[in-house]
Amino acid sequence: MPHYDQVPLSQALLQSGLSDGTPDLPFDEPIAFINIRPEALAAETRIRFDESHDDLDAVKLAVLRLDGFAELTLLSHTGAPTQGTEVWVREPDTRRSRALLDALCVALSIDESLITWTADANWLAERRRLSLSTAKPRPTSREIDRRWRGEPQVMRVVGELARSLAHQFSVLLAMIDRLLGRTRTPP
Amino acid sequence: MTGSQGHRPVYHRLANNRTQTFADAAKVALSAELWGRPRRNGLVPRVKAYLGPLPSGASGIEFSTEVAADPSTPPKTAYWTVGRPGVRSDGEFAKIPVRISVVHYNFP
Repeated sequence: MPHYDQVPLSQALLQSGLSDGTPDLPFDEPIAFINIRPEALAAETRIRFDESHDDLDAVKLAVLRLDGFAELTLLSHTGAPTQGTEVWVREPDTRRSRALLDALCVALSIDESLITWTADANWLAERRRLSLSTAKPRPTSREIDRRWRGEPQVMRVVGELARSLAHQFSVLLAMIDRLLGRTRTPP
Repeated sequence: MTGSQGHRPVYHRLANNRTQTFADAAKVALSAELWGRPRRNGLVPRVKAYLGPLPSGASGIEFSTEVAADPSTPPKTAYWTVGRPGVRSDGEFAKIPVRISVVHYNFP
């Protein structure tokens, strides 16, 4: 059975939304619609849906990484007339999309009959052509980590340590000043 | 909801305080253009809407357009992607000409 991991998303980026033009998540093209609401999908799996928004509506989303596949996004627009969960990928590619969908169904134990829409192969080919004709450079994985998932853990730890040391140093200076009976004017 | 008004489909966008405020609705009505931006990873901008009339009692706008929507989208959604006939590219925005038929906002 294919294994999947959920990719954590930072609160800052969830709050800023999915429409700011920063290219870094698998949100290029919807390839399928699963007739299951995200709440039901979350109840059946260990997936946690986060809340955010794009320029159409509020959304619930979860980014997954499937073994052997690129990341994908499960997304639901909260005001959509037909409620369910869309599957989004980074690059429209008919063959890979089909394989990814099959793997997703197995990984999440989704009956294929619940997939009520899949993107037309001709359209995916046209979308790919449109993407290539207007392509901007894609970000590196390091840039993606920095922008979307926040600073790497090691950088956060170093930052916390530096802030803590600076604070302790200023407390120490204040104590020395007090012992020496000096007053320090703020810079 | 059939999503049609005569022979031309109608679409709607629900009100929200970020991208579909009353001021946005007024701009769309005045300019007769609807704008869309790329998603974070969407390298090609597109206009997005729901298919069908604005639900009864909901706040938002209802519109029609002569520009054909993308041919393959999730149920009851409509996208107009830059590069398709009639979809204008303007910087990071996609723009389509629209005719607004309903603007309905509930104010507290």
